[in-house]
Amino acid sequence: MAHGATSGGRLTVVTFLRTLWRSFFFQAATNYERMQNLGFAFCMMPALTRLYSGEALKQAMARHLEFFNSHPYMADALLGASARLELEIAEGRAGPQRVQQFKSCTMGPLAAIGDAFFWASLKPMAAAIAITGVMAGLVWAPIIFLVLYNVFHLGLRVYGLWVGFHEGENVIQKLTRFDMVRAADYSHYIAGGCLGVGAALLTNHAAISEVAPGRAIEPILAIILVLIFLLCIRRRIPTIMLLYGGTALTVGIILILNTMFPLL
Amino acid sequence: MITTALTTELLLITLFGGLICLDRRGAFQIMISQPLVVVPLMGFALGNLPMGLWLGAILQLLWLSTLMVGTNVPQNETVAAVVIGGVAMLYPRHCVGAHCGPPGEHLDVLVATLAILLGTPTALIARLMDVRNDRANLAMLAKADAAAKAGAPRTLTLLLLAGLARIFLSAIVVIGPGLCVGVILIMIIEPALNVPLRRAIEVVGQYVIPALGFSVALSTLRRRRALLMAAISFVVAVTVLHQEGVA
Repeated sequence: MAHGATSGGRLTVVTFLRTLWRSFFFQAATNYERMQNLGFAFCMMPALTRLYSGEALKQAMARHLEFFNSHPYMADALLGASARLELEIAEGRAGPQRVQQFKSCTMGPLAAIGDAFFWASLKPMAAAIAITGVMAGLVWAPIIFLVLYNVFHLGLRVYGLWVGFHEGENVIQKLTRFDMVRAADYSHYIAGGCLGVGAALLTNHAAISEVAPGRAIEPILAIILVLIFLLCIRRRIPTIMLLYGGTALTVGIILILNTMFPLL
Repeated sequence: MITTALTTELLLITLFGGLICLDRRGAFQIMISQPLVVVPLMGFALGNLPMGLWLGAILQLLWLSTLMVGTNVPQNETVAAVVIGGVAMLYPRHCVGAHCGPPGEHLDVLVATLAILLGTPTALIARLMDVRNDRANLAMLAKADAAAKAGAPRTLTLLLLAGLARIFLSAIVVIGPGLCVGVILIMIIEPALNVPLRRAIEVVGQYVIPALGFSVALSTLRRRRALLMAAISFVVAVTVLHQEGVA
């Protein structure tokens, strides 16, 4: 047993639950210098206070205040594995540098997977499904969005932390079994399909309004507008500029046309 | 113009917005801070769910491409959604005069469009506040290091709480004034609009803004085939809906 390690130190279900609860505040004090280090150290405290006391606790706290930057949901797996490694360090089966090496090797790749899966794929897909639901008149569509998103979000958090707690560094292999990169690819197709239907439903609603130019023109008008905007976005013109520019242009054209051919 | 009831509602929305902003990054991140959830929630509370759902969907589309990756601090869509939703739903509730639309549950595209145009800049102002927060959090590092040297875990908890308080305060600092200015401006602008201008703004709300939103959403699709999927599903859905309309 390492010097300063508590004799009864063991990772229990209570430690797991306390770490899980704390992990929901992981990004509360993000900073530009060491990014999520404060959140990581805060989440590690239930395990560290259980495993160490005195000088060893001070050293362990300092270890986890080093630079850390990863995806907030994927970080749970790293928290679990780090807690397991700390147990091994406390028992004298590993050196203190091992947990730092593990964190610095894994935080980048896991961040990339998390960003690609959660931010760039799952969120747009869940939102596209719910938006199509709203356009179809489903009042519960926002709840569908929340459920769809959080089944994966909370599921991965709990699973990652639990497996990390029990299997340590093997958590990475367990996570790669899910093939989140391929799942992200499929979610883009679902999002694409839903956005198409959502746009058609919105066009249909607009077509029956009093400002509609005519039912047959609506889809063509919508496609032209979407393509123009899409082209502008691809050319990196900011959305806010497109919003105000598009508004000014549309209002200007309608007012000029109305002066020439008064209809309104 | 500003009654006690309106002031109370402004304050309540500001507090609600501040709390909901915590979910965006500081706490939980279960996505209740997304416009698609937060604006319908406001619509439900303020008695105009149709407006909340429509606005929530459109705002979600407009800000679907925002990614909080690494050191990138994107526009704060939650603050903007609370301000836009608040302006759009408070105005019909407190509008006085012959020009006012019928109160209750309905979607007023003109009011919603004006709210979007008035409230969108708050997303940029809130982004500046978020950058400022991250810079201010740097001061916590020295305190955290001192806590580690002293072996004081509770200090870390206090620092995290200070971080949350900072997020809450920076949100209400933008939402409160944003809502007040937005409501006052819409109260001045809306009655002053003539018929052609009203129709023009409605066209913007019904075509231009949704088209921009769908373009932003389509730009998030990383696969060319996904774009093709969107095009095919659009054509099929339009054909089906047209057939139903003709029938």
